Amino acid sequence: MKKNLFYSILVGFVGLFSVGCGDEYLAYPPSNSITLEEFISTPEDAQAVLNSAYKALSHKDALGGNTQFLGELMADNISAARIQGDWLAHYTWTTDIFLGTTRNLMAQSFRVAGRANFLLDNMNLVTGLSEAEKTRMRGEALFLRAIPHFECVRFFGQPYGYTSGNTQSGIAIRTAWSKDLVNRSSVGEVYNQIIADLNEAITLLPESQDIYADKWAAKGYLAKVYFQMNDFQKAYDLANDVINNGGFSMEADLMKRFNTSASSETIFETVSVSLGDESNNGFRDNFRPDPSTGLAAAYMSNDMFVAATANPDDLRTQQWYVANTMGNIECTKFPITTYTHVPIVHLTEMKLIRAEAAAELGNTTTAFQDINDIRTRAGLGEVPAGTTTSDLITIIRNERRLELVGEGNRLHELKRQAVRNRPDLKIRGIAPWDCNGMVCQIPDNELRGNPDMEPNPTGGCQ
Amino acid sequence: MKHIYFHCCSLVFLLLFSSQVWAQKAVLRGTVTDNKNEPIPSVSVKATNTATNTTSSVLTDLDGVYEIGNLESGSYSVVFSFVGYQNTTKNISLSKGQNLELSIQLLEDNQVLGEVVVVGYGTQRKREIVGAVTKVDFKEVTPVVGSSFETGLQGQAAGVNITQNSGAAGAGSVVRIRGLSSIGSGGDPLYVIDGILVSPDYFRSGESFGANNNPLSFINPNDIESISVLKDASATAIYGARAANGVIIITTKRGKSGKPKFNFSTTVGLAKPTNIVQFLDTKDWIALRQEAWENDGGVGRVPLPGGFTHEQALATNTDWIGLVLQDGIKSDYNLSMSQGGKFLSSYVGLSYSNGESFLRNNSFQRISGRANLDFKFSENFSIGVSTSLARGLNRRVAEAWAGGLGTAQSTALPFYPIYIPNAAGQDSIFEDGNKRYYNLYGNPVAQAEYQRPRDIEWRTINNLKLTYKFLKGFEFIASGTYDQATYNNSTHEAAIWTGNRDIAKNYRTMSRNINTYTTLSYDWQLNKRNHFKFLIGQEYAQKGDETTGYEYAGLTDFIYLDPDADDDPAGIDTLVYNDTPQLINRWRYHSFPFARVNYDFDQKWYIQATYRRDASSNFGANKRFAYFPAVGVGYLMSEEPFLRDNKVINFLKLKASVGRTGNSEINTNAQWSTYFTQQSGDQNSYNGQPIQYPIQLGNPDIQWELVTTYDGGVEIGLLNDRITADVSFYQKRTTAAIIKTSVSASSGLNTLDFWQNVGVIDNKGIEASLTTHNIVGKFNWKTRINVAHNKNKVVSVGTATPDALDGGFGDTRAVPGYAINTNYLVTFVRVDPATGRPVYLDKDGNETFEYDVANARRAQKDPNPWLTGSINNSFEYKGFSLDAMFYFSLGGLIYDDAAKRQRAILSDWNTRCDIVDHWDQPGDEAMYPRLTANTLNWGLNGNIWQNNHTLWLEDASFVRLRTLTLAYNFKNKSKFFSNLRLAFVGNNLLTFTEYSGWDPEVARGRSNAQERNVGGSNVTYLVGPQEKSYNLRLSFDFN
Repeated sequence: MKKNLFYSILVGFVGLFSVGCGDEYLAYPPSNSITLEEFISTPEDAQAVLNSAYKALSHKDALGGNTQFLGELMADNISAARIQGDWLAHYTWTTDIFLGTTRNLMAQSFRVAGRANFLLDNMNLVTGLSEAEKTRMRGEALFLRAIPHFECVRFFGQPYGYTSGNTQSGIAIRTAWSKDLVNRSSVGEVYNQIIADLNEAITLLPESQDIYADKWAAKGYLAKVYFQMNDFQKAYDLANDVINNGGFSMEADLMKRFNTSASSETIFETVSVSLGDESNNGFRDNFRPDPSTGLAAAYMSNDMFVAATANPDDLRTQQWYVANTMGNIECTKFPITTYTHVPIVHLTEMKLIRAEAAAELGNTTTAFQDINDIRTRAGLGEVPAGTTTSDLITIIRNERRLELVGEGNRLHELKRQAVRNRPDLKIRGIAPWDCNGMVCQIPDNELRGNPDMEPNPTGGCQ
Repeated sequence: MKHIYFHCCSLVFLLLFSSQVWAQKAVLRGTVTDNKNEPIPSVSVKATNTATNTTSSVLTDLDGVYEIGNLESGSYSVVFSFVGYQNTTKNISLSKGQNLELSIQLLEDNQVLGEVVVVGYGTQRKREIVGAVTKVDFKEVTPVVGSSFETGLQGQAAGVNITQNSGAAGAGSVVRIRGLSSIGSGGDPLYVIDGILVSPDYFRSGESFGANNNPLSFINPNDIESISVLKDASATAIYGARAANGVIIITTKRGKSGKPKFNFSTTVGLAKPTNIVQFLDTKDWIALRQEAWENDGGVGRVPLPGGFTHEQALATNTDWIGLVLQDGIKSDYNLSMSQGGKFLSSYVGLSYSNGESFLRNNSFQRISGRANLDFKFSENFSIGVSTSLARGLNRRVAEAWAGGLGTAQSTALPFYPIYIPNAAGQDSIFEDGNKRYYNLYGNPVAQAEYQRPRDIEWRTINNLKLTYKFLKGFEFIASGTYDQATYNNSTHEAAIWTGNRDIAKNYRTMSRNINTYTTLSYDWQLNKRNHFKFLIGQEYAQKGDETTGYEYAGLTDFIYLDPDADDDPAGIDTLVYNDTPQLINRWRYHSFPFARVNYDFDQKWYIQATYRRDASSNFGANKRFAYFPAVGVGYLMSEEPFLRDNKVINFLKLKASVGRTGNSEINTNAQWSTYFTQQSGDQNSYNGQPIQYPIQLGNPDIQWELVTTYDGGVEIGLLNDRITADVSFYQKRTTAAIIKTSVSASSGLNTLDFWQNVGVIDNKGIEASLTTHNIVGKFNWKTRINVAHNKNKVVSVGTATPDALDGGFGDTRAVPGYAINTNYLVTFVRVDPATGRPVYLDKDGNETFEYDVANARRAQKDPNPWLTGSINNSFEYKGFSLDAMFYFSLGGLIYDDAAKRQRAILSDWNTRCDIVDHWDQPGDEAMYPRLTANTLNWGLNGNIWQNNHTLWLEDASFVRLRTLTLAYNFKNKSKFFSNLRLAFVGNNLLTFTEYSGWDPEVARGRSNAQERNVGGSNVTYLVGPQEKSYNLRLSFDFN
């Protein structure tokens, strides 16, 4: 009897465990895990995601300094001294698929696009978002998505105009939040996507909003895109619109463009406001002396310095360069602080675009006016009235180099000039603008998950 | 039996009355026969006088006849022994001059066949096992003192490969059974300790200070009774989703019937490295650097790192490697008690061991206690209580990439002084009267003093087990276990090292495991020939790790030594960092049912079927339940009439099995999408506004890996088991293998990992063991041989490219068509005799000077050994025994990832002596290219690290005298004292290899599963050698 009782208890024990272990019990996530729906449910959540896209853009490896530095390093503004490691591979046009610099460029840039796409794809999960807010957020997301495409396509593909149909390989176009494999599109297709996104952003964005992207940011950025394409009419129209109607004004002080406070010529910038957030510290780290060694990571090239010192009256020469104790030239254009605002679109560049586009279009009056504004601020005389259009363009291009030094424009500008009318251009006099090494190798973090991803040809620029 | 006894007794009785032939001395003689009355030759007959304890022994002749003369009168214990037969003891008394005839019949020993082996949720006799199961009797095993028990398993079971990471104290091992069957999931076997499932946890994630912890070090090897290694599906499928990597069942000692009996043993040992690699001294280092300088077009003297002049440098020749080595002292004390009464049987074991390694300041100390109590309330009902508590203290030193011996062989150059020198070249004395270390962070002596890592682990496993037998043949078992590990990863850094205040860090993982299972079994003898055993059960297991971490400034010693630190953050100690406690690595399993049916027909045919259904939180929401069936057949051909009386073959069993098992050692984050949520701090905001973003995508379809195993085998016994052999063939196919797909960077995900069940992997192999009793008698010689061959091949990895499936540093990749851990490298051909430049193959296989990392890398040949195994010879003579085990691994490859700095382009690193074999002038055929400091001369792109090719891939075959034991068992015994044994045990005393690095046996203790699988055991980067040790061991029983 006793035995039977014990037996029944034990059988009950078995039975107890056999039931009631359903699915819910087995969903046992880490303690900090949340669902997608919990993650993005309120307008504040959506705004925080959008903020994170800006944050990603301000990161050192995106437009916080390093991407701009690559554009200088692979051109002719930087000296070989002090360049080592991954930077040296860029300097010598021998990038390979395992470089930290290109991995970071690809990954960090596209985090901007990824977060923008995440917001675009999941905005429907947010409750309480007004139509106006939706429109604004869409506009900002499209604008933010266009930027990494433009920055990366210029490093990982031959420039726009390299082939007549722009069929050369560009980068993967990312317009959805997805892990799906996407192969490279042609450079032409990438530019089409960038233009479409920016045009749509222009229609959606507000007239003005503090440091965040507004209509003028998108128009100004699109002007840069068209200018890179040597599409002078569209570049002119957009730059003209921004200059005339945007309400921006030139800073008299040359040190104001890169600063820890806002500048009147900034059309769009990323911000980094305190020592707790040093996301934009690439400029400081690359150009200013390292406190531990007293040496800068990069010195300016002799070629650059000769161009800069051609006129002793040039205020830029006086304010932007200093020779260190060893006689090397350091660039002091960027603040010594580790945090700074970084202008992505600014009035000086709009003026340079309008000047050259106007000259190309035969509107020399505007061209003279714009370039003289820039020269006057730099303490130089005006361009003589009788200068030929061709000489005028040369002068404008030289001013562009001097004004935008360190801002990452030089490599792309040389390639643009080569496409436009300098087919024999050799960078630093040795490397053809269209050699294999002038295009960065697609990094392994883009190649390894996708066997169909086409790598760039190797062989450097020998 | 009864009547044989009667027969013998009557014989003795009869003889006692026979006439006395010898006047003084007695004679004992007789014939030994088997149960068929055939005489047995070479039977050992020992007659021991119970009063004087003197022994006389002889062997029977070809007719089975023996005779022992010259015996004093008195009482004797006569022992008859022969392999394959039961030992038989007869007690007789001899009177003066008596001539006694004592003939006996020996019974065949079925103990070998009847040997009980622990299997999943029960035991089986060896005879009825249909799968591949190896039992290791732990008495025959000698783990290295201060090491974990698995070091003693090396070479004991065919197909079980165990590589200790290095000779550092507390080092873990890579244990692989029948090859690698997984890429992205854990490859370690499942450990079952007394029925409790334990998974190895690598708590020291990120391998801080260069190596991982050993998750098994809490087990006191002296508490282990036996170990069963389950290899095929019929044996392992009862463990379902966690069994695919094989199962190692550890059974601890329990009380044996009888009065309390104590055992004490102690060991003292000396530890040394197996090998010391030679590096250049100052003079040669500078000479070669100068040669490279001139080759590169340099004029004058080569500038030296650190700003030394050549004269200053030549005045110093620091032996950095010598400075980090020591003679390690090992000691070990064990006390155990075993007792078995009517109500209570108990085993209690206590141990203390402290093993220093050959690395200065490095030791592992374990204190452990275990109590296994069995209460027997009635014939039917018993309760077992088992509890163990162990504390491991690992005084660590930085290793490999993190410093210590790693630094001593890399950046600590021979002309760097230990202390900052003054102008006269002597050690500077600073204002405070002290010396200061030169090159603080690159100085391994300074590092050992100022940066001290230490691990403290507590582990307790507590089990309550009820056994209830009822009706006829039914047995019910209910078991509940609480298992808790507290692991502290502690560091103390002195102010001089941090540049500010002393910093003490402690990162703690508290892991809690709960396991309960119930089984019901029924043993049913249907009739004389048909016998069934049924088992059905269910099991629940859950685990979770709670991690915390904090760092204090101002503490002068480790946090764990200052218990007030937690409570007194406002005092002189300042809390500088506090990690939010997190619950991670959590899972739950529920398994219902698991079942096993055994059927045997006539003790000749054995059939076993098992099944398990597992549900686990480790599986994605869309894949909750997994099913694992297996079936096996054993056929004892030797039971057939045509073999029963065979003179040669006394045992022959054929067996075959097929079944499925799973691997669910899945990254617990695999199924969950993760997000960065809003946090405070400027670094977590943009323009002062909060940010949040998605980090990683989870896969709700993630599931267990499925391994289908086919196994066939033969067990044979010849000449009454003088020779036994066991051969198995197997084929394992992993499908739904988890691949950590790399999402493209352009997706914008923060973490590019996405786990998918898309891979297919094959392992095929053969294992054989052979035991021969070469000489039996007074002098015994036994040989045991284990060999295994395994061929591993990745069949498919979905869309992943080789670079997506890497093994961390060292360029190993899982590539379809090749082994999982294949080296994926540019092929180095030779040094060009004309120019001294390295010649590589380009992407088309043509020779080139250019190193094309994007296109010319290829999967190289199989890095796994084609044959591994051991040969163990044991000799016994009187009280002496000698046991020598050679362990070998043939055809394996090791990639030396540090070679690019130690024997390639000269840089600010130490250089290995063998670089003297370099190209000097046209026509030279040299091992190494022309000396240079310029990467471009090697065809590289300027990055000294991007120099991976087959010149650094080396054959790592070796034969090693793993253990040598010379022991003497003292015969003397008293009422209180017995079994005194004194032994010398040597580990790794001899190594035969052509491998040029530290040690051909090397593993990097990675915590990341993929890195462990793909690059864990055939790549080295500054990892040190194994340990060679000399030990003396004393043990005895007392009561």
